[in-house]
Order: sequence, then structure tokens, then C-alpha cells
Amino acid sequence: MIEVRSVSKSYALRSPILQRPVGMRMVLAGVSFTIVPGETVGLLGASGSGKTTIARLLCRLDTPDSGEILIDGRPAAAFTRREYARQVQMVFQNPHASLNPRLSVRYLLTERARQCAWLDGRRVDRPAIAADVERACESAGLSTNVLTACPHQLSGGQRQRVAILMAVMLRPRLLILDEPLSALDVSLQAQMLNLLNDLQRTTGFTYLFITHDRDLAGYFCNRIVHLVEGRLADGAPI
Amino acid sequence: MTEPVLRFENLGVLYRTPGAAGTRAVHALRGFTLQVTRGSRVGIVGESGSGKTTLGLALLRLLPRSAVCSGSLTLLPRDECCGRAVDVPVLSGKALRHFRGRHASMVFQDPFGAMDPVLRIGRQIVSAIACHRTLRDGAEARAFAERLLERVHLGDPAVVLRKYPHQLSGGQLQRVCIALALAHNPDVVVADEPTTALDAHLREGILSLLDEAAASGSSILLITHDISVVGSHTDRTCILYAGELVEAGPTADITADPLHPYTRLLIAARPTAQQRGAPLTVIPGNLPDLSDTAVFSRCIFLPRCPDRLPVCGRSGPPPVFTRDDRTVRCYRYGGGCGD
Repeated sequence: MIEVRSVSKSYALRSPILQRPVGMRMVLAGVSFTIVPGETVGLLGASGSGKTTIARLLCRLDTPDSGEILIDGRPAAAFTRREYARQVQMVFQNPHASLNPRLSVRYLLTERARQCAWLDGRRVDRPAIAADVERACESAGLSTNVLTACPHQLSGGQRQRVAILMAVMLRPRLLILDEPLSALDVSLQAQMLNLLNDLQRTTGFTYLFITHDRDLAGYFCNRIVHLVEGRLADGAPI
Repeated sequence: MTEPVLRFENLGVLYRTPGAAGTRAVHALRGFTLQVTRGSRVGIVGESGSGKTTLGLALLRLLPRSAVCSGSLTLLPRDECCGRAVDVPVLSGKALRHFRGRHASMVFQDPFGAMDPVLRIGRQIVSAIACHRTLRDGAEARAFAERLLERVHLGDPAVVLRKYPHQLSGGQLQRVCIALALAHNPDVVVADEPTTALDAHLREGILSLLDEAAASGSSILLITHDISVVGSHTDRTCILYAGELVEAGPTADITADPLHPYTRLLIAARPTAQQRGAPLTVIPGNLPDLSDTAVFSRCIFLPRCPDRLPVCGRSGPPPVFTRDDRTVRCYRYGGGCGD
């Protein structure tokens, strides 16, 4: 179980040229909610309401000013990096920015598979890693010829699949999806939603789905958390 | 208000792109025929690569040099041009500048990309107004600009005029862009995904501005990839697939009873809260390669169509079938069944 307990975060506002701190801007003000394993929680809110800040705090890309994040009762800060890689992973909105343009898909995925073997404490042997990569591709409905391509040679849907795979291959407890579908066409959105649903059915992932589309959240999420200007509006089941 | 203001006749656009094996010609838009009546709101819906943005750019003559247009595109202005139709593809120089802004204008997807980041909003609006109207002095220009911003419901126009684009939010800046597009009450406004880059809760506000523009006599072409956007904000909808118009008709009829298989799939692929967790319908396959002319000799949607007939593969492209104000390009609705 992942608990976000009265977390607050503010950022310093700086003057235009000299970058002197001129005040603080409260982004999150005492936000609390829990995520139960296997469920999909939707995080809805306008831009600037603090959605991405919550995601950053959950990924430990930032630390809260007050409050804490607990994973199975243990503070997130107490995990080693190696342990934490297995707890939370994130898929970003723009796959162009999250995939290295100079590396082939095979390289990107192989690196993840090696990392996974290393985290498991398994011996890293090449044929097993190659088999892992191919199995992962198959699970996401990607043909193996995309492996030789670089990210810019893929279609939008394929690129987002690779980005999702890179997060999924480490088998984290919680997968944070930060508007992963907003850059895609309707039919590609449907493909991605089916893929995410299948992954959840087969591997029991927990999702935190950040979006501003109510229809999408209504379709995909078991529970919706509304953020309004850094505060929780309601966490009632829909 | 039923006179057609805009007439596309068999409009085609092809892009010549250099490739490894000589120049490739990508047929981005083919045989597009449509009439738009004055003050009507028309939705153009399609996936990426369907040619919807090409259509908007062709109307404003903003296509790159590598693009070649065929067919005709005429606009019948309402003002002093003595009722003569404007033949858009042959415009050049002064006539083209007059056409853009005065007769047709465009609202782009990304408002930050559409404005100059180093000039104040007021300066940009005034220079756009001054292209088409003689202004006596600064005070008159300022008053005109303030009236424009009031029209798009921006609070405190005098303050907004003194700001730079980065000091406004996306929603405010998109309102400024719409104000600019409507500055001279053009005959046609092309809105190319005006809400895609904005938050969902701002969508209604932006689209209702376009509704107000339509009520004041400008026709709106609303380009979008999301069929749910056209629902309450357009009168007619055109569905484009791979550069062809596959279905057109009143929006309410198309959303309630889609005829073309592609339209049906497009509507079914949209997730709703009612179908929670159930697998969504996916359109199998990818868009065809539009540089390969062989794909035009049969129905363009055939490889992905779930309800194909034997006739679809054997005969040429389906003819356009018309019934009660609706048109659909599919053999299922008659034409060529005996082939």
C-alpha cells in the first residue's frame, strides 16, 4: 500500500534577471491519499494544480517540505535507489523526450532487461536478456523488427509503447502514467488503454493515471482524486 | 444564410519530398469537395496524416513550396468585393495579403507558437489591425484592440495589452489568438485543433467563442482529431481518412448513426465511463503509404475495414453515395454492386 500523508511542497519564486528569491509558491498543501495494490487511481486537475509535483515526489525526483510518502509503512526516503527502482516507475507525456534518440530500441530495452536482472541478483547472460527483450516486445504487441529502429523511425503509438515497456520491464509496484495518451490519436489511445489493461490483468500493476480528460479517467480508473490548487477536492469512488 | 461562402471542388494537394530513389509525391489530399454555407460551423475530423491540417493550410495558402494544389477553391466574400468570387489558388501579393485576415484567418493549435515572444500583445494586435484598416492614432488603435479582447471575454484588456505572451496562461493566449483571427470579421475562420494544447476545462470556453463568431456571420472550419469535440460545436461534420472525404453530413446524424465503417470505429474507440474496463475497439493496421499510387485504385480504407464486401477489392475506389443531406464513400451504400 502506498500512502501519501499530508504532503506539502512549495517552490521559490525568483526575480526575473538576478534570480533572487522573492517569495514562495505553495504547490501542494497537505495532500493525503492512499493507493491500494492492483487499483488504478486517476489524478485529475487543471494545469498548475500540482499533479506533476505529486508524481515527482512519488518518484523521489523531489522531496516534500512536510509530510511523508510511505510504501508498506516504510518511508520512501528510507529505500535505497536499487530498492526504489522496483517500487515506482514513471511514463512521461512525450515519448520523444523520454527515449534517447541516438540509441536503437534494442539497446534501450536490453539496458532495462540487464538492469532488471541485476536488481534481481541474477547473473546477466546475453541469450536470456535477448529473450527477455523479445518477450517484452511481444507482450506490448510490437513486432521484433522495431528493435533495430531508432525512436524517430517509429510511429507515435510504437514510440509510446517502447516508453511504457521501459518502465514496465522493471516490474515496479506503482506505475505513474503522466498524460501518456494526450499526444496520441483516438485509435492509438484505444490501443494503449487496451495494452495497459492487459498488463494490469496479467501482472497486477498499480497505476496512478494523471490526466485532465474526465471521460478517459472515468473509463480507466477505479478511483479518482481531484486536485484543486494543491488541495484535494474529493477522493470518493466514482 | 444558406448561400455557400466557400467551395472546394475536387481539391487535391500533393507534397513532393526528396527521397533516396528520386522525388516522392505524397498525395496528402485527393478529390476533396465541400460547400460551406455562411455562418455555419463545419467539423473536419480525422487521425494524424488524414490531410485535415493540409486542408486548412491550403485554404489560407500557407502550404510549403513543395506542395502542388489541383482542383478549385473559391470564396464568396460578403463585403465590398462586388460579390465576385475569389479564386484562392491564383491569389498573390497584395490580393493574398488582403485575403488573409480580411476574408479568411486561422487559429493555430499552439498559441505560444503563434505569437511573437518578444513583442507585447498590444503591439502584435495593433500591427495586425493596421494591415487592413487605417488607424488615426495610437488611442484609436488601443481602443480597437481593447474592444477585440472584450469580445473574447478577457478581463482587464488594458492590462493584457501591455503583457508579453509568456506572461499569459495558455487559455488566455488562445483567446488573444482568436481575437486576432476575428479582428476583421473574416468570412471563414479555420481553427486547427484550437483546444488540444489546452486543459480540458478551458475547452468549452474556447469553442463557445467560435460559436459566437459563427453567430456573427463567420463560417468556422473546426479541425480536430477527437470526434467528441465536434458534438455540440458544429452543424456539419466531415470525416477525412488518408486524404479522402469518407463521410459528411449533419453532426447529430453522424454521431448518432455513423455510416462509414471508419466513422463507426472512430466513435467506438473513444473511451467512456460507461464501458469502464471493457476492451476498446481498435482500428487495426496503419494508414496507407500515400506515395504509393496503387492504394488509390481501390477503397482506401479496405486493408483496415472490418466489414468489407467482395466488390471493395475488385473495383476501383467507391463512388460517393448521397442520401438526405449525407454523403458517404463506401460500396455498402450502393454504387458498383453489380461490378
